[in-house]
Amino acid sequence: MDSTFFSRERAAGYEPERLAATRALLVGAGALGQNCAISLTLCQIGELCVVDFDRFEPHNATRSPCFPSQRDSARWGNSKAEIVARKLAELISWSESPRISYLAGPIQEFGDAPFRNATVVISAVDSNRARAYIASMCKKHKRPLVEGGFDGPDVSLSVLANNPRGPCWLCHQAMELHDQLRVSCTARAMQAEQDGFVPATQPAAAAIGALMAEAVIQVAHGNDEVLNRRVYLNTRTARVATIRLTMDQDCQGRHDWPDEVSFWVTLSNEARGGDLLKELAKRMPGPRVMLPHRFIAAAPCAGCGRPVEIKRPDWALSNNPLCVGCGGPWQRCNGGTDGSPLLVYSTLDQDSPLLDLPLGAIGIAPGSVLEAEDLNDHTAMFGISGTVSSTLVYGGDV
Amino acid sequence: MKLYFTHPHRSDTFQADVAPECTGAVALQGLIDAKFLDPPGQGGYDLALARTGSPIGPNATLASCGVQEGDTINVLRRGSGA
Repeated sequence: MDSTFFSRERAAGYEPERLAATRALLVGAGALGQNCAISLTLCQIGELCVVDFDRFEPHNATRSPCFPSQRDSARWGNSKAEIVARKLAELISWSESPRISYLAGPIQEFGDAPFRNATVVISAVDSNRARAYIASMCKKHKRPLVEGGFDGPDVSLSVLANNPRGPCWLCHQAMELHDQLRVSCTARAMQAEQDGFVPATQPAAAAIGALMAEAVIQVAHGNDEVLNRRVYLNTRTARVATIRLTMDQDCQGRHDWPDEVSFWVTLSNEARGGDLLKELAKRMPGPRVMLPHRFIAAAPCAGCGRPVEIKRPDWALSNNPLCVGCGGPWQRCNGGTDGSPLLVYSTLDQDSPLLDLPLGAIGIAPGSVLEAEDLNDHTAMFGISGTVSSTLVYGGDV
Repeated sequence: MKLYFTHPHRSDTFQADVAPECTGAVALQGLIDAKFLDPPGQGGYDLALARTGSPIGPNATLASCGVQEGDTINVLRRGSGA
């Protein structure tokens, strides 16, 4: 790059070196995520990882700057994460930055590694459950979080430092976190969200996407003024209000994450629950691992109430808690239609029936940091070596 | 104590006599019951003390948040779509 390449940005107060050192994790590649990502990409941040489990649908087009053409879909498929990553890479074909990657799947599936790798996390999801998860991971790993959402013309944006003694996104929230284990509750929550859903408009998405991108840039520049505040903006009236977020002593989120990981264990890609316990037993007697997500062996179908076999972490239920007979993915198993019991595990120990299951099925991803307790009730944070491989890494000329 | 609640979209305010022990959640529900606010739908509402710009959480009492007689409370619309 010649010396004039960033002259406009420098004049505006941006330091390209700080932008280049920024590794952003963007969760959610919908209207909001795309509009934010375009600004960050053009501003030449160092790395951008796009995560989304969803696929493009025709109704997304009017608020999706990265909506695929027929040719794009024929070449790349329809995954939002992949399409957005590829379209962003096309946008900066003149540059080697940012290094763009994507993860096509629910963010929970990828564990802690994407959060650990990021210097700032952007939450652009449309589910409060996902927001709460992303916020808790940012608090756990002390990563700054830029989070936004809209309701028609109303947009709000939060920036959280996630320092140990500062507020988290859950502080002062009126939100009721629906228990994903109670699938009928999940179904009701989904219905409620659908009932109250006001779709995005491109102007609102562009407005908040720009504000979020600027917040990321200010975080990268160490501007403390933007931290721990929430901005409310109505894009029709241009009315703006800002509040300073403070720590809530009654917060339902966890604030007391340990600073240090005690030790790391190395496992093969094919490792199972029992293999993890064997490794841990070398360092602590009788280990019991707190699972990052509750493991559901069986649960009632949210439609017909018949028991279904899940054998997945709880988040896997949230998108479609129905049996195959009701149009969902889960196979029915034996049992009655009423009061089918939930069969749930929140820990992994020697008596657990999860010993033979692959770690991924239990919800433990490479690069994750977990807690384990030993026979003497001593708790330790430990890490699992490895990282989640992004499916595509773009950089340079494409 | 007498308080004034601003509307997130309109310029009018709602005047109410509220006990200092009232929580943020109860105050919001009262505003919805009085038809000053629409049901929250997907996004939800936040409350903030206009004088300080500090939030009033759902479980916090107005008194614990420093709300005083005659204060204005801003009702703010939080988005959750993406």
